Amino acid sequence: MNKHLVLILGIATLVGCNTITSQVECDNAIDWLSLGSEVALAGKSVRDFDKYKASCGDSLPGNAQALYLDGYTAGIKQYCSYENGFKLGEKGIPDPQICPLEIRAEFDKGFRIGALERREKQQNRELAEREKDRALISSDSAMSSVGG
Amino acid sequence: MNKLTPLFFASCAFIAVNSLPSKASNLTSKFKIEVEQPTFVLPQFSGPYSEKEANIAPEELETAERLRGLLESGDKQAVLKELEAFYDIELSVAMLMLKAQLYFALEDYEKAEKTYLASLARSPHLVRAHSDLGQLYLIKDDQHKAREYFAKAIALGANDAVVYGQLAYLNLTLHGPYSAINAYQQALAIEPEQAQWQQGLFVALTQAKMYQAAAALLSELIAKSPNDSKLRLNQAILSLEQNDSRAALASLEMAILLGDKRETNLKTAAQLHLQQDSFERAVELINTHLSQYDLDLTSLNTYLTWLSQRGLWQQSKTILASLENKLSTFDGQTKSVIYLHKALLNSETANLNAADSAFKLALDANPNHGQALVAYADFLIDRKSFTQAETLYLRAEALSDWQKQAMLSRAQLYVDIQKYDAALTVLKSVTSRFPETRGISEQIALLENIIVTKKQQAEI
Repeated sequence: MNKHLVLILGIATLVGCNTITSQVECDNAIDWLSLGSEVALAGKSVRDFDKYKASCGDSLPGNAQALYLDGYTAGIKQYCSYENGFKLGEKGIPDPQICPLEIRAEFDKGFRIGALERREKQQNRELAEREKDRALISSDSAMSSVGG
Repeated sequence: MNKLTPLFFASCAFIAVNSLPSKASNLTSKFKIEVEQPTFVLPQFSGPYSEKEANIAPEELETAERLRGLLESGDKQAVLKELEAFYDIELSVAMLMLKAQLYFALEDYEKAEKTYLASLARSPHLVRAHSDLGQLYLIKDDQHKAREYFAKAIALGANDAVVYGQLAYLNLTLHGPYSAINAYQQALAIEPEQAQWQQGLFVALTQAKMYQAAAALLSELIAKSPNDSKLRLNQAILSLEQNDSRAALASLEMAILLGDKRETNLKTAAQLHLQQDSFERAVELINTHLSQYDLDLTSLNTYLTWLSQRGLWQQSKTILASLENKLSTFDGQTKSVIYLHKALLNSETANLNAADSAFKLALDANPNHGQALVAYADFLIDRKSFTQAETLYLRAEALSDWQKQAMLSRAQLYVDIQKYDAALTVLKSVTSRFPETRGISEQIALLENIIVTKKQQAEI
């Protein structure tokens, strides 16, 4: 029963996080094009713009959204590369799932291969540790038989 | 496949035969046959689900299913509202295309254009976006852009008769017939029974003066549909283009027999009959025209003038008599034309008093009727009423269309009554206003000689 309650609360918190928009400073000097690009390159969702909409309200410049989206679209093309996918997968960073379908394939491939490499390295590490443990165990038993 | 509201637009206009350049310019400038122009119909557009080029993202499948339901119930606004809640970059190109198509269907052309272009920026080879943009630019009457996008759609592999047909139409309009023929043939190859492509190909072949090919196409179509009046009209156009007015008339008569009663075509048939001296049928067609359509002043005047030029007074009389009891319903200009032709008829048949009265009625009905002023003045000269005739010519000279003719007639009047100085003055005035008038300098020289001779005779 307690387990179920924890799970439901967990989902509620997740949904809540999704809708909360943190306050940002509404600065007239913001370069919206660059901001869009930076957000994409940081692997964040395009929805990051929503917090500016919420904070700035009517004072948001008329062309801000268009510029932001242009910057984001350019940035996302750069972000969704094979190399970047590989890097994320290799580091075990979760796929942010922001790549549009038409440019997703290379990123996904890189991510999968990166994740595979990470897993292999981890397995190799684990194997090496097990070998080390086994070596230690066998040397301990040899010692005890000498002692016996 | 989601089918949204089909958008239609069509173009129907005259094919004025004289717009087709040909050796037969003298002939064709006289005749007009009205037929259907190539038209096009925007196809029903399907949703993106059947598109090969744009796929839905797996995470959108659930949304797509829900939107499909809404589309099937016809709630386009609701679908659009859902799609507008996303930033474009969050949507797959397939969903973006759906959004563009919805704007298009809801006639928000600016947003539709922007969204299609956004789709193409992400998937430049999307055939459907190119062909839809072609349609959009056609609606926005930007033929050059429409052509560009249809051509691109075909280059990318569109195999759609409508796209070929529209490219053909635009090529025909913008670049001449040769660039249209192949595209029409492609459209026809995909949809062999589609009348729009048949008509388009025929027009392109005719304009390209590929008469044999055009005739072969027509023969095939006529063999399939012998009772199609439009095909007979095309045959008539083809014959006129080749200066064969007898064959043109035969085809035109066939079209009329099959039910085509368009005003222009009745008029052309009547004119061709007059040209070929088959007066009875000409008058029959004239009567059909005049009884079936609101009286058109130009046609009426043309008919009565043709008949009077050929001396067909009895036929003129029949037509005029048929209009007698409707006279009170006509405006002043129409009444004036009818009275003028009555006057000419009476004048020719020596009913001079009746002619005189009819001329007066014509000018009462329309005091600025140039043809009536000049004709009445000519009539009065025959009756030696020179002063009255002079006044009428002077009135006609105030009307720009009749100025030259009235001045020349007045000069002739002065010669007839031996007022050579006055005649010379008028002719010189004609020369200065209408320097292109042929033979006038000889007339002036002749008059000057007469005046000198007269002076010399007086001195002796």
